[in-house]
Amino acid sequence: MAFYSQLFDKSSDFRSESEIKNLVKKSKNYKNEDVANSKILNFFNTSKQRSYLVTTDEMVYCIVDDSRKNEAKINWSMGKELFASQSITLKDKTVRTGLVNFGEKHKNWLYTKSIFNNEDNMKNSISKLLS
Amino acid sequence: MDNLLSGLSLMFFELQIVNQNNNENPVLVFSIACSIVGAIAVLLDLTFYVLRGRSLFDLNHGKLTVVFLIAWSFGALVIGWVGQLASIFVVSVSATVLVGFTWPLIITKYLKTKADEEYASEPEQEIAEEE
Repeated sequence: MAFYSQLFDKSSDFRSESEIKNLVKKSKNYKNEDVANSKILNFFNTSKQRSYLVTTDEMVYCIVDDSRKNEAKINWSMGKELFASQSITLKDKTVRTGLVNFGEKHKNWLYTKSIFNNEDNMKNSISKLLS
Repeated sequence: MDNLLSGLSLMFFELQIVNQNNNENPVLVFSIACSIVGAIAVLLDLTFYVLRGRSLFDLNHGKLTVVFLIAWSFGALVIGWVGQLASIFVVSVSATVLVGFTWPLIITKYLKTKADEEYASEPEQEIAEEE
């Protein structure tokens, strides 16, 4: 029976959202923001990886959680106002996956289409994250 | 009912292959035979568990044994029926034993193979040092 549960419960290998939020404290750009008030958006989801945007009062962090690694990793971070000024553009990659550009500096990030119904939905989700 | 019993008798005790020539319902005979062997498989596993303290099928025997018995038996019935519809098996004791004893293993192996194929084609986010 353990075999069955391991086969179907892939989510057990990932870090929880609160663990992901707390990871921002390890960022080299962490400015002692209040993590308790941070917001999180999961934008990429596969059996092995999840990617998140975490926003605090001052910063936006992009975090990749790989279930095969010992810990999730912060890939980049930038000031919230700077991030808000960047244009978000999307393009297709596969049936299930698309590519998103967070401005000019952070291009071709994978996102899972099924998390967002359409492009507007994704942009709205990011706007809510920044509000 | 007589038809079913004569088919089961023909297969289990005379070790003959049941087909349209010697029985009107070989599909029913095979499905029921698979479910009987499935139940026997769980009972044998229970016997092994009682005698040796461990389950060969990795079942947690106890209160749930009756559930395992019904589920395993029902699964074997369905797989036997589907196997007949797909013309995979002849109505023989060996095919019945194969389905009755191994159907969950066959199904989980098939599902795992399919899942692995799907996971292998998943795109992966690049993980980099924080900028």
